[in-house]
Formats: sequence, C-alpha cells, structure tokens
Amino acid sequence: MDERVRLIVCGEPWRGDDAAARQAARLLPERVRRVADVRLVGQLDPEQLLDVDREHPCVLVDTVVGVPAGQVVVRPLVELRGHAGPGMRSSHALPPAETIALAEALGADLRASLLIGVGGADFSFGAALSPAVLESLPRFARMIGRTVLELSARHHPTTAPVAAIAATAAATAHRASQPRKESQP
Amino acid sequence: MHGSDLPGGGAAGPGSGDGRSGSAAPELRFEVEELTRVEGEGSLRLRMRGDEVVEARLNIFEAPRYFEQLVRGRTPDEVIDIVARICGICPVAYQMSAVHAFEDLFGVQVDPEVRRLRRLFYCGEWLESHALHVYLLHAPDFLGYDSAVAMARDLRPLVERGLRLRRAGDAIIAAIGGRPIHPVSVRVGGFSRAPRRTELAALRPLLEQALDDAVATVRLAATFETPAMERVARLVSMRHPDEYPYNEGHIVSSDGLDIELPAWRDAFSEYQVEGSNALYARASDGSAYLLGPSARIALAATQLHPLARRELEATGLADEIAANIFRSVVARGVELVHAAAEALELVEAYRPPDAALVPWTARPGTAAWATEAPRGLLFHRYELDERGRIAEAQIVPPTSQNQAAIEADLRVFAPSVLRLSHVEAQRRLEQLVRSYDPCISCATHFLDLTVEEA
Repeated sequence: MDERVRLIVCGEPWRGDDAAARQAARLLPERVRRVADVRLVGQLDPEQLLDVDREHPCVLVDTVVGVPAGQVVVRPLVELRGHAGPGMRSSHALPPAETIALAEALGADLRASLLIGVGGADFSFGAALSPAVLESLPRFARMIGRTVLELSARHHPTTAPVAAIAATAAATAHRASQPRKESQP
Repeated sequence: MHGSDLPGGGAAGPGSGDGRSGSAAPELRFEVEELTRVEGEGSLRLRMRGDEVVEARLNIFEAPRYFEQLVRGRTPDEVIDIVARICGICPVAYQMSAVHAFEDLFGVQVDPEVRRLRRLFYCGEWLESHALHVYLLHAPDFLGYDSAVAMARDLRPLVERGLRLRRAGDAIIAAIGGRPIHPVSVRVGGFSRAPRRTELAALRPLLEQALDDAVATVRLAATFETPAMERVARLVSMRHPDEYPYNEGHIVSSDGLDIELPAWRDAFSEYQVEGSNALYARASDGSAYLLGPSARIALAATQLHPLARRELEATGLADEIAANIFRSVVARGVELVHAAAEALELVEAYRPPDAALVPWTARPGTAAWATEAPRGLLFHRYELDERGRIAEAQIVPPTSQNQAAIEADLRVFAPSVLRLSHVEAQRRLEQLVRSYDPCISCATHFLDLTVEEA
C-alpha cells in the first residue's frame, strides 16, 4: 500500500461552499503534498476506504453542516456512521453513513481515520464561497496539513520529513496543553 | 417507508384477513414514500378492491430538470457535455445518442477505430451500471437483506465482486472519457483525445477479472428464486445484424416492428399523466412496451458474445427472461459477460485511430438517433437552426418509456401478493419495481411506493 497518507477531498466545485475542501487542498504546502496521496472526489465512495486500516489511516476533508459557517472541526471518521446526512435519497451515491458502514462491512478499519470539516453556509449553484468559509480557508488548510503531517509521522516515519516530524511533535505538544475547541459536525 | 395508510377510517389492510374480494370489499392500500435501492426519487401508488387493482401508478415527483430547454441555443458539442449531466450512472448513453444523432445529420464518417472505441466506452457503462444494480440494489432482494450494507456483513465476497465489476467499468470510461462520471472527451466527429495503446492495455487484468466475475454473476443470479410472473408488455430493443446493440442497428419489437433508429416517433409517442413529472411513452396502438436487458436478450440474443450466449444457454432461462421481469437480474448478468468479453477483445485489438476527431460542418435539420443505455433504448431528437444551434430538443429516456409497462406489470402482479403479510407484500412489490432498474433521475429525471386496496 502507498505509504503516503490518503487525503480524500470531497466536494462539488460548482456548488458554493461544497468546494471548500478542494480549495483548501490547493493551499497545502509542498511538504504536505509530498506525504499525501490526494484524491479529489465528488462524493465519498466505499472503494476509497476499502484498504484503509489503523496503520494506514485516511483523512477525509469536506464541507459539513450543523456547525457555524467557517468553523473547522476534526472528528473521528467513524462518528459519521451515526449521521444520516442531509437528505440524500437517491442511490446514485450512498450517503456518507452508509458508505462508511459498507466499507467497514467489507473490512476497512476506519478507527484511526479522521474527518476534517468546515461549516458551510451556501450550497447553491456557482463557484463562489460564502464570506465566512472563504475567510476560514487558510485555517482549514493549516488543519488539514498539520493532521496529514502528524499521521505521516506517526504511521509512516520513514517517509515523513524529519522537519515535519519535529514541527508536528511540537504542535501536538502545544495542542495537548490547550482545551479542545472542535465541535461535532 | 410507511405502513398501510387506510382511507375511510376502517378499511382493512393487507394481512388483516378480511375484506379481500367482492364489490363490497374495502379499499386497501400500501404506502411507501421512499422506494429504496432505485436510482432517483419517486413513489408507487397501488389501490386495490379485493383482488382488483383499481390504480397502479408510478409517481415521479422529482423536480423536472428542463434539460430539453437547457440545450436550446447551444452547439452540438455543448449539447454532448450538457446531456451527460442528466445521469451519473449512464452519461455515456446520453452522449452516444446525441453524438450519433448529430453525425447522422451532418454526414460525418468517423474513423473505424473511433467506432470501436465507442463500443468499448459503452461496455464500460454497462459494466458499471449493471454491476451496481445487480450487487448493490437488486441482489439483497433475492438473498433476504434490507440493503447491500447488511448483505456485505454476511456475504462480503459478493459485494466485493460487484465493486470489482463496477471498478472495471469505471476504468474503461475514465481511460476513454477522461473521468468515470460525466466523461468529457466525446465530440461530434470522434473524441477530443484517443487513449494510447498502453493506456487501454493496462485495463486487461481488470477486464480478465471482470469476465470471471461476470460469469460468476450469471451463475449466481440463475439460482435466485423468483416470484412467478407473466409479462404483459411487448418488448422493444435495438438489433444489429452483426453485433449486440449499443450504438447502431434498428428498433425492433416482439411483435414484428422493425424501423430505423431516427424513426422512433413513427412508432412511439410521449404523453403526460397528471401527477408525474416524467412523460410516459406508448406505442402507436396505445400499448405499453418494455425496454432494457430482458428485451435485448429476448430480441438480440443471437448477437451476444459467444461466452455470454453460452452462459445464457446454460441457465436455461432465456424464455423466462422474456416473460418474467424478476429474471432481469439474470439478463443483466449475461450482459455483464457480454460487456466484459467484448471489452477485452476491443482492448486487445486496439490501435489508436488515425483521426481521433474528423472535421464536420453543422447544418440545419433534424438530428435523431437512439442507442442502448443500460436500462434500454434512449432516443434523442434535435432540431437545428440555420446557425447549427439547437432550436428544439426531445430526450426520451428508457425509464420514462418503461413507466407504463411497470404499471401494467404491477396490475398483473399485485393480486398475487395480497395474501401475504403486509411487510412481505410490500417487499415483493418493491422488488418488482427494482427489477426494471428504474432511473428516475433520468426520467425527470424520483420513487415512493403507495399500494392501496380500493
């Protein structure tokens, strides 16, 4: 398996804030890109998750609802199992909860994988992000980058850049001393 | 999903054991607001009095999508990209019907290798669409599961097989079309880019596995126990003298119709039904007709790839496929074999075309063509103005053509389930609807189920 950290970037580029993850992915610095297997997808598909396990976790990034617009949240991916999603009824694509359930039924171990989301406000047609989401993009990108580097350092120390390991170790130590602010999507 | 909704404050529901027959029988109905495991969103309404079906209606209330209006004023190449957006499962079909219509009007002769690439493109779509339907939508009905997720917990290899087949189809579409969903390479006159030989050669291992998986699918599907059923509707599909129908041939029927593809309107017409956001279609004598894998197998089995024909014969179910819609799962399996086998041959013989794209000049007139989408015949007709832009469009998807046949089959099938418990009756009715693999998003391009005993 590819030793890079799988970064699954979800979202439709022409549906307003749904494009936030794609836009944030463009802001990732080279040192993150080197250790990330970036996969741009419209919607999460079970096949993206089948070979994910605790040693090879993935990071799913997407726009989320249920939190204030622009707020960045980090949650264990498996928590999505309990979320029905925003009214998707067509079988053209499975809703996230079913996608995750199907992937797990097929052997994926998602316990070490993470969801990083940014609260969206406007999902209407067009490429423009809402002001709150646009303003939060650098923060969203930084959280994605930091998480990828951490996972890379933890799970693939031979491929993670030494500087990144040092940087993320320091960041982790700093964050561990701070109260956690993320809220559930 | 809703349980029985009894009108009139006292009518018996199915399974209650009374009021099943006679003119004084109470009205009974089943109601499911969201039929699951179909493509898109809609409902089914069935009202019964005793054993008599008073009303069988497929209500398609997904909002109209106005594609026929959206393409007005557009150029042919723009139309090809727009109509691909009608469906995430069968975008190739929409592109193929449109591109052939325009090329027929403009007198465009594409490179023979482009013609073969287009067949390969269609093989990819059939693999992807049929695998999704057989394994994720339909097989749970036959194997006693509520969903593919529940089935995957017990029968993991089956679901994995379905995903592998789907992946093979997606890989073909991506190799030719640039991406697996809503491909972007199709152009009037060919493709904007033809794949390199090595790109298609890389598909061989996937396709060899897909062929094995497809054969296993037919053999599995042939073991499924199905309810008894005698079809009402006539069967309609394309047929070609030399090949299993994708892009070319004639429109034929089980009662002797044989017309050229652009002449669809000579034999069929669309009509509106109150309460449905999709147009219905009927034959010129007013009758319903059925499209799709069962019809193709019934009308064009002689042109199946020898491996697919062998598997069909081994099932001994060819006649039943023509008569019992529940056997459509076998038909899809056979077509999976066909698609995988033909794709493998096309990939092995592939040479990049001398001209991936040939020049053409637009002209005014009527562009009309049909191709075989996974769910059946998909007809497009465009009027082009003096500037070569679309003045008027008509897009007739297979699901909207199948609506009347679905309702006719429901009328035949419903009485057979009324002695069953409400839950089981409802499950069988949903299974019947799923047998047509309706793509309601295409047709309005949605489904809830309401069954009432009148």
